Amino acid sequence: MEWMLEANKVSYDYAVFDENGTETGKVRAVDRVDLYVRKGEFVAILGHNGSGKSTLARHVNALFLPTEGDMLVEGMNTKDDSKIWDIRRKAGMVFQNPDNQIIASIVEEDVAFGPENLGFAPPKIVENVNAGLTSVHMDEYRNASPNKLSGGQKQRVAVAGILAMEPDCIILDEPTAMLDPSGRREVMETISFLNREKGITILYITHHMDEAAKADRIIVMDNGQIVMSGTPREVFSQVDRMKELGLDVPQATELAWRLRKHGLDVRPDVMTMEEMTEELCRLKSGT
Amino acid sequence: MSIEVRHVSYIYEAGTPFELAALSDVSFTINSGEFIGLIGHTGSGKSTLIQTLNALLTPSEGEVLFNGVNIFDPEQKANRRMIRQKVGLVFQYPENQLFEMTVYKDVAFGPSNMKLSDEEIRERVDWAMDLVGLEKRYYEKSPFDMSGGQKRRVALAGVLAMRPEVLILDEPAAGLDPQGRDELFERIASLRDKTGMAIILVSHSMDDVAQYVDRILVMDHGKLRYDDTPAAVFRHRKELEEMGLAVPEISVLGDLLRERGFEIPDDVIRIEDMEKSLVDLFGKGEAK
Repeated sequence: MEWMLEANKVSYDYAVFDENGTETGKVRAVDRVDLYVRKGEFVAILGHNGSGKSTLARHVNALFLPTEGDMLVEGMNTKDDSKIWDIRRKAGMVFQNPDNQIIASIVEEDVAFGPENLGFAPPKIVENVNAGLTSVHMDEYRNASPNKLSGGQKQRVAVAGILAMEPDCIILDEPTAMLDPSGRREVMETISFLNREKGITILYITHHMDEAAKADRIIVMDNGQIVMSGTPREVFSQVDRMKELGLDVPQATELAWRLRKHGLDVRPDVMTMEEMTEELCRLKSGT
Repeated sequence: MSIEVRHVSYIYEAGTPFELAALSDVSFTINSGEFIGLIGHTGSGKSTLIQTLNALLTPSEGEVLFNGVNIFDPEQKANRRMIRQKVGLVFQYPENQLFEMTVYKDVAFGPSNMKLSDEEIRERVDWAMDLVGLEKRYYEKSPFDMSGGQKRRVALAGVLAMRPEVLILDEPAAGLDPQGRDELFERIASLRDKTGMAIILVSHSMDDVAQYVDRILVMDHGKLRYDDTPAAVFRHRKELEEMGLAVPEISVLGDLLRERGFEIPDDVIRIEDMEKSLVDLFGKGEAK
C-alpha cells in the first residue's frame, strides 16, 4: 500500500502564557493520533470547535511539527528540514477566508505565485496556470481583479493556485464556511472533480454534514483524538454518538432517526433525500 | 417600534464609469418582536441594506423612518446618533472587534459613551451578560483568553448593552460547530421573547432560516424580490436557485414525496413538521 499521509502517534502541545509572557503550562491539542490516508482518498474530518482537527491538518504541510510522533507525507518526514519545500509542494492548503489568501491584483498572477516561488521555468508556469484555471472553471476570469469575484470564485482561484504547484494532496479547512449556497456548490463540485478525475488526495475539514457525506471516509475528532472513523454511512448512522460529540448528521439521516423512534421501519443509514424518498415509497407499498 | 424603509436606492461610485446600483427601490416595514431572515447571494445588496438601517450609509434616494422620524433628515444630525443606539449591528466574526483588557470593560464600552451613570452602566452590563448566558465570574477575564464561542457572546453582549430595539446579526453562526450554532440560535430566539426586540438574521443557511425566523426578505441584484413567510418564500424553489440560493432540504424532500403521490403539505419546511406529517400519514403513535 502506498500512503499519501502517515501520522504515527502524532501529538501536539500548545504553550500557554500568562500576561507577562511567561510560559505557565501546555495544552495538548492533538493526542497520539494514528492516521493513514491512501493516495486518491477523500477524507472528511469532523469535530467540534477546539477538537484538534485544524491543528492536525496543519501538520500535513509542516506548518506545525509534532511535539511527539511523526507525520510522513509520501514517506517524507515533516521534521526533515531538507524535505520541507517538497512537502509543501505535494500538500497544499486552502483556508476558510478567501480574502486572506489572495495576494495579487490579477487572477492569473495570483495563481502563478506558487509555481514562480518554486522556481518552475516560465513556459511551465504558463502551462500550469492555464491548467489550474481550467480545472476550477475560472479561465474566463484570468485577467479579472480578484476583489471583483464572488466568495466561491475566490476559493476556486485559491485552489487553482495550489493546483499550479502540481500537488498530490489538498487540505481544505472549512473552505465553504463564508460562502452562499451557490458558492458552496461550486467549491464542492470542484473538489469532487479534482478527487475523481485527477486522483488528488483530499483532506476536508467541515461543519457541513452534507459535504462530509460525499467523502470516502469520515474521521471524527474529540479532545485531540480520533474517536470515530468509517464510511459516511457507518459514521452518520450512529446519530446518538454524533450528538454526544456536539455534531450533526445530514438532515435525511436525522429524519430517519426520528421516524424510527415512532416505529417507522426506515433504514437508519439513509444520507440523502432521494434515498429517504425511496425508503418511504417502499414502506408505503408495504414491501 | 417600527422601521419603515421607503423606496431606498443606493448607488456606489455614482457618476463614474464604475457606477453600481447596490439597492434599487427597496421598501418594507419592520415591527417590534419580528424575527426576520435576510437572504441573498454574495453581492445581492444585503450588507448595503443593513448599513442603511443604522445610518452607516446614507441612501442615494428614498428614506428610512424610525418611529416615523426620518433618520437621514439633514437638519437633524442627532437622529443618526440615536439610530445607532436603537439599531444594533453585529458584524461577521464580531469577536475580531473585541479590544478591552477585561470582558466587563468591553461590554461596558457602548453604554460608557452614552453619558450614563456608573450604576446604570453596571446594570446594563449585568443585563446583557445574563442574556448571552455568561456569568459574572468572567467580568475580570481578558476576552482574548476565552473560547471562540464565548468571545462571540461577549461581542454580542457589547451590542445588547446599548439596549437596541432592533438587532441585526450578519452570519452570527459562521465558523461555529453544530452545537455552538444551535445554542446561539436558541439564545437569539429567546432574546426576542424576553425583550420584544426585532431581530434581523442575515444568513446563507436556508436550513437555519427555515428553522428560526417567521418572515423572510430575499434580495437579488439590489432588489427586494420576496417579503413573505418562510413557507411562502420557499415555494419559489426554481426562482431561488436561479438567484444562487436554495430551499431547505426538507422542502426538497417534500417535492420528491409529492411527485411520488404522498400528501405532504407544501408549507412543510422544518424537520419537526416533516416528522409529524409522515408519522400522521403512516398512522404511527408517539415517539418511543
